Amino acid sequence: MPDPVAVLTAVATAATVATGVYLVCLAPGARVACAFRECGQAVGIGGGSVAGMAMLGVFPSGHFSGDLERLAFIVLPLITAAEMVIAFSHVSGWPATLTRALVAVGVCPILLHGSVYLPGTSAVGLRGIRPAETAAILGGVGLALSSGLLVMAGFRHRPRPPCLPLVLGLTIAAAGVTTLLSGYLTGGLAALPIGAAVLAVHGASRLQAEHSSDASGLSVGLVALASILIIGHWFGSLTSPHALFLAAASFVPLLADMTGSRRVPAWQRCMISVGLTVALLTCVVAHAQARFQAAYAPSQKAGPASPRAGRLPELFAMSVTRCSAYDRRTWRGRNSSPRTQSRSPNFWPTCDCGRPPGAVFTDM
Amino acid sequence: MRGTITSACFFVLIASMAAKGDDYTIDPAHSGVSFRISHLGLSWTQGRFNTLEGAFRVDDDPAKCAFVLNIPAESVDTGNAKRDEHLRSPDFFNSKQFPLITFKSTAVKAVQDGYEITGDLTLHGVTKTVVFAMQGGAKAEFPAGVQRTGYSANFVLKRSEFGMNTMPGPVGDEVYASISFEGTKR
Repeated sequence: MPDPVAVLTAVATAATVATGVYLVCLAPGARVACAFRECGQAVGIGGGSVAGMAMLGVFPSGHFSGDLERLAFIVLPLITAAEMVIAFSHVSGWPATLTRALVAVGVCPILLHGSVYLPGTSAVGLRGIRPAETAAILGGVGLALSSGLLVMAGFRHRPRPPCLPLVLGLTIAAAGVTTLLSGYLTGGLAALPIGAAVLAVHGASRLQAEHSSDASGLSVGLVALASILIIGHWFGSLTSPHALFLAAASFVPLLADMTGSRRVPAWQRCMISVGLTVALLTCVVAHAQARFQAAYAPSQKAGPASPRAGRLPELFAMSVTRCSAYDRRTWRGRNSSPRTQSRSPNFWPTCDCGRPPGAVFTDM
Repeated sequence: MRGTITSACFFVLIASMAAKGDDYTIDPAHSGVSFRISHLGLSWTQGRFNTLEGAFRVDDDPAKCAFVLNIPAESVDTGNAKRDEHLRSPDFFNSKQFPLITFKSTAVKAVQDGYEITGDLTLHGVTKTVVFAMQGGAKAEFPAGVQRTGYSANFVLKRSEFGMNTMPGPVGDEVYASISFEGTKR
């Protein structure tokens, strides 16, 4: 299991770096405050995430052959750079959406680069997946992520649920725990600093400005969440239902905001959204935990792991009975007294199989 | 002159045929790789790879011997499905990124009862030169008409040298591997 101190240190590092970078970006002053605030959110989350991941030591290879390296050093900088361009060029609407969509389409190929899921890679000589499957993976993920970013951007000109970054940070953390429980330890751990960075920047922006825009931070966080789900599912064993529920969880506040009554105060809608999301995330993590425990402790829940395991008392009784009877027969046939036989130095009674009595357990 | 050249060519051809070794294809049904690794310093977790493929050439001149072995990382089997999933993940073998574990000999030297093999082992995307002794070389015919020979070797690897650093405490660094294979003559 992961070292809790190391995990907490990484999470604290990510939160500190993210907050620090965000606050530094606010320094230039009020004239360009909006662009710098947007930029600070993106750079803060990206920088804090990479710092936290580095603190965890999840970059063993040090080059881009690892999925986490590609996430930290290509995907996160790419979406951060895109958000900076959007922030400083003051573009909105379709140009901004198109820029984010281009990044979204590139995320999956970058993360799956060099794997068996893409043609012409190191899978030579093995049965790889068909080109149609590759196209379905890349197209499906690209479309889904682009749509997610579009939905986030679509709320730009109306009051965005203030709890959206909070929910996104919690979802990223839950995605990490679920990925960890699904058999990909470092991939799951890497999500925790990212979630901490999102939450820290969100907290800092709330303290700094009552109605700050979270668009760039949300984009970086959503791309990071998608990346964790991609590597968890295709490199680890994160199941499709878990991945889909986790992806959907981050949109619960938007759904609640759209469907909820306007008569309900915003803070109540926010509380309901967070409650629903936490309930959904808890269910997903609990299910992953149950699967994990069932796999590692089959004898506790699912009965005996092998047909012989549950028969141990029965086999013990049979072997004792059989060998005792054999011993009695042997002693009766050869000697008048067991005591006389036991004094013989070369005596070692054997069962029919040629093994000492009781040795039936040695090969179990 | 023409006859001399023809004779020389024939001699070279015969010599090259005589020098040609025997080529074998590994028989997966009679080949396997097993390993054991320490768990918490308490016990040995044992596992195997269910698939081993490759080919080798055996020659009277050891320098002309060659061995190429391919092991799909996906075929790792420790008898626990969840643990196998974890072993296939990027925490260990990263079988989706590095699907094949390969060994290719670069030098073969004759020793008592077999060969000393030097070769490049590629595991987890990292290639390292390894040296180990391989016993065997006896030949048999089974079934009738199928010539076969086989070799076995035991060696120790440090997984950290191949970039597999996850869980260094609970899971031991040294992996005790054992490989045994038969080849059928082509």
